Amino acid sequence: MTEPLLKVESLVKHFPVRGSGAGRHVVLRAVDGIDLTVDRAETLGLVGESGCGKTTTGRTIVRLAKPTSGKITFDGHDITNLGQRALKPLRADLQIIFQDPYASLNPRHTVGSIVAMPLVVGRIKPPGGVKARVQELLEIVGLNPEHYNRYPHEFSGGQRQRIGIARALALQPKLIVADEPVSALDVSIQAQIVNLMRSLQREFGLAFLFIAHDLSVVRHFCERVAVMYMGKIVEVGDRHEIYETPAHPYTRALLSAVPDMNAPAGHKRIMLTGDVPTPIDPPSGCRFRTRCWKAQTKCAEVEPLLAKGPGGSLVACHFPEIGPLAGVQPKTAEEVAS
Amino acid sequence: MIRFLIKRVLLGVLTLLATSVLTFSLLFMVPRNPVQTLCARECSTARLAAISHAYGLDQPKVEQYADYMKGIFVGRDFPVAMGGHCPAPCLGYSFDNEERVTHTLGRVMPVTISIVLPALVLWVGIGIGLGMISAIRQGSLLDRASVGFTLVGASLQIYTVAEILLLVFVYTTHLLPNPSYTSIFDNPAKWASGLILPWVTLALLSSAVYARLTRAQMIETLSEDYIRTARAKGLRKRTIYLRHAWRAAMAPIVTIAGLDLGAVLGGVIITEHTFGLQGLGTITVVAAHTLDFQTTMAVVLLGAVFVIVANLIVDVSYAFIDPRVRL
Amino acid sequence: MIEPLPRSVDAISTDEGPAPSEMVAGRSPGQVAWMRLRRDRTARISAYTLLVLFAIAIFAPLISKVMGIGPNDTFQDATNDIGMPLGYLGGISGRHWLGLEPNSAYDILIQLVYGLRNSLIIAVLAAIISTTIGVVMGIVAGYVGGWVDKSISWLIDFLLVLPFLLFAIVTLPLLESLFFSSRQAIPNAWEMGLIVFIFTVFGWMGTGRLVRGQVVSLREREFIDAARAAGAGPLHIMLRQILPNLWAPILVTFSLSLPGYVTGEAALHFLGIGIGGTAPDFGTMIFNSLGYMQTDPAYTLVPGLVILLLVLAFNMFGDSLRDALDPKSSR
Repeated sequence: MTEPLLKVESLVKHFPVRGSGAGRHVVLRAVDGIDLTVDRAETLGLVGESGCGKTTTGRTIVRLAKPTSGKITFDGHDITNLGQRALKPLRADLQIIFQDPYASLNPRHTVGSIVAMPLVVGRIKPPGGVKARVQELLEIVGLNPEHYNRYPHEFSGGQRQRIGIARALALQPKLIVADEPVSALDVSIQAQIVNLMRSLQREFGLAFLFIAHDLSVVRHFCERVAVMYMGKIVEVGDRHEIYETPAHPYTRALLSAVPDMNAPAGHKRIMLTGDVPTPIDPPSGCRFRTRCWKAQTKCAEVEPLLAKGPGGSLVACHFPEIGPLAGVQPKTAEEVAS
Repeated sequence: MIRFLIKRVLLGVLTLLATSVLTFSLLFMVPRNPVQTLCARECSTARLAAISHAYGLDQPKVEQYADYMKGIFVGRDFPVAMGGHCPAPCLGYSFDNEERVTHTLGRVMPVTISIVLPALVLWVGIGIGLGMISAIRQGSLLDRASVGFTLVGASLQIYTVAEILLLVFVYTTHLLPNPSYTSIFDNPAKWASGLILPWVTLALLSSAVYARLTRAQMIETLSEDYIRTARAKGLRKRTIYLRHAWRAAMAPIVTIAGLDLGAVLGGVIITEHTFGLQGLGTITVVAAHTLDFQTTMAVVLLGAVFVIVANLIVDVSYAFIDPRVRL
Repeated sequence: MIEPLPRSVDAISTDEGPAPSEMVAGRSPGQVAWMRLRRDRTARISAYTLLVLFAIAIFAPLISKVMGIGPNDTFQDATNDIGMPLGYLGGISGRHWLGLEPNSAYDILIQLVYGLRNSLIIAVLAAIISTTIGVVMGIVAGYVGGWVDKSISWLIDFLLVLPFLLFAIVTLPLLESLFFSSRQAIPNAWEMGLIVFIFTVFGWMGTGRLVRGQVVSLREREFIDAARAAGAGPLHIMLRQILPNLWAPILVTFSLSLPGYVTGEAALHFLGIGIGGTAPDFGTMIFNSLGYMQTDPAYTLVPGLVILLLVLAFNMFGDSLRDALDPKSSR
């Protein structure tokens, strides 16, 4: 088995909390020990609700933030603690797309100079010139290359996101971290952008770490999905395992909330009770237990670790759910192949 | 609140100290012996040396600074020719004026205060009042006239306004006497009539600036949603303006007022010079010109104290105006 | 090499945006602001006024040559025994359009023209240098943060406490005495240079504070993250990413600082500080004129009115500029 392109081991990222009066060492445990792998040309989805730490994970992986502990290996190199200068040549292969199409483009730069920025920063001169390359990239993402000289405020949200994608492609990366790339877009535009990313992925053999809070969006794009809760990964599996036989109660709750026209009438949504606990002081044992309908004493005492579950996925739960999700028909072999 | 006050006072003291060090070192760059003025009349190298020694001018600079600071808090001793013991707060002895600096200041402070305080009342009242009315009646003739007035007023200079006022009220119509200073305790009527032109001059310019600011702030506040709610509730206009809008508009103005104090000092100096009044400002200019180190140092310290204290007052009043500020 | 993807149905965007076949370059935010400025009537009037005044200042030597009068020429023969100029309203004649100065017998018009020139030279130099310093300090403090930010911010706060005019009054004679003994006449260039120096030292803080605030809010934006993720170093980010977003506030503070320096210089000279040279200046003229208010009103009011016009034009233009550059104002 070849080495994965991206390997994250026991990644931890804590933020110091300001203004804490009594306790000096109060930290916000955004990411509290997660493991991930992404193979070449593979798409991994990272899903969770707001505040679970998925964006922090993405940013830490591309080293916009320094990990508190753990190890990140990219393309065989240990990039966990590399200095900026040593990191620079590796950055070409590891790029990121941001969530907010309005804030991720410099309003004072033309589209051309935005997309060219990674080339300028890396002092790379493509044969044919920077301009030709930029126009090529614009065309690849479905924009008119003549709009090279236009400014971001003249474009719609979906188009701006395409510009961001073009920028991420400029250095011909191997892996792209997409941090909620469609969350800020209208639903109809979301589909377009996701389709664009799919064709780019197939055409250029890109690997993706697709971060989102919406399971239905992830389903079309990702071969494997990891579910995150409160800084920890609670379930990891491939598409079928997660969507058809999810084992973790949290995954089930997330899936049941997705509107599905094909669900039988009377299909009940799982409502999670209780408030989301604070990442500064997470619950002992299993972090999900305060909202879980199956919680028992063991859940508060022993933290569950990721292990092979009944559905085929890796799940961190003492009492995983068994069997297919209610109302879901397992797909036939032909459907699976599509 | 107490904690905040203590912190700010400490910071203020630190700033004062830094200012005193900065000024002291600046003034010491001067290759001039302050005793030189005496030498113009009766010079003998021995005498010069003796006085220098008595004043401690031949000591290392750091010691001189320490002596100076000590003088402020406990007082220090001078030779008899310089007035003997100088009680605290001792700000030194000025050879140019031939008196203790504290005496000089005591002489001129009443003049400056007599100029500034009434003018302050005038310009704050007129400025803020005009600004508010202007904002409330936005678009009316009054508003447009006041906008024009404030724009021109903010661009005018003290001496130009003074000249026009003097021409009109003193030289042509003789309605007012030539501006001069009389102590309020001697003759209040003469005090007022002698200073009214300086007051109006100073107030005219500053009130224009404040009126502009107040108007802009008030307009912005009045367009807020909560004012719309108040109107919809049927509150009387007066209640809306005086209770709700006023507070929101005042906060930024209080900030600007605090920052503006340096400009006030400058304005006072120019006013005194224009009208020939012997106040703190005039003394400062003379001292600066003749390189009278003692007086200059004292004035700078005084100015810094004034600005720091005023900023502190501004910060505290902020807490009363804006309940979101938790001190 | 990456192959161009054929334009598939998926890729074509159906959302609104600029028409596909336009070859015109887009309108930069700067061009948008420029158009708004052009439409503003007060901006036009004040801009023309400023242009005229600047032209007079620049062509002062030419004007002097055409009139045949130099800034140091005196005309004592056109005054009477006590030094008062002969003729109507202070000596106004075909030769001396604004009359003569009492006592010194300089031509008032030429004095004004050269005074304007010197005033604007000082103001523009001081504005350029102090704005540059303020921008550099602001960007460094805002972006680098940490103790660098703390020290620069403390310095800004400290210097802001010191009253501007007071310190200018105190330090200028000091600096003069450092370089020149009290008997010497100070060359004009030196005098003006010292004033520019003091204005710069005490004038950069406003810009610095403003720029720092802008940078602090800008550095959290995602396009900065994008640059960092591409490997950009601090220099690239400060100069090429952040700075282009700052030119609006920079332009506004620059244009609004000019009148302050003009009036500051006039005030200093009015108070008798910094007049070691022989250059004509407004402040000295106005001070001298105070004694002649009843006898020679033209001499009294004209310099003051010229300053008023200059400052008014600067202020009005600065306000219009601020409005044009503010994306939120509804014009």
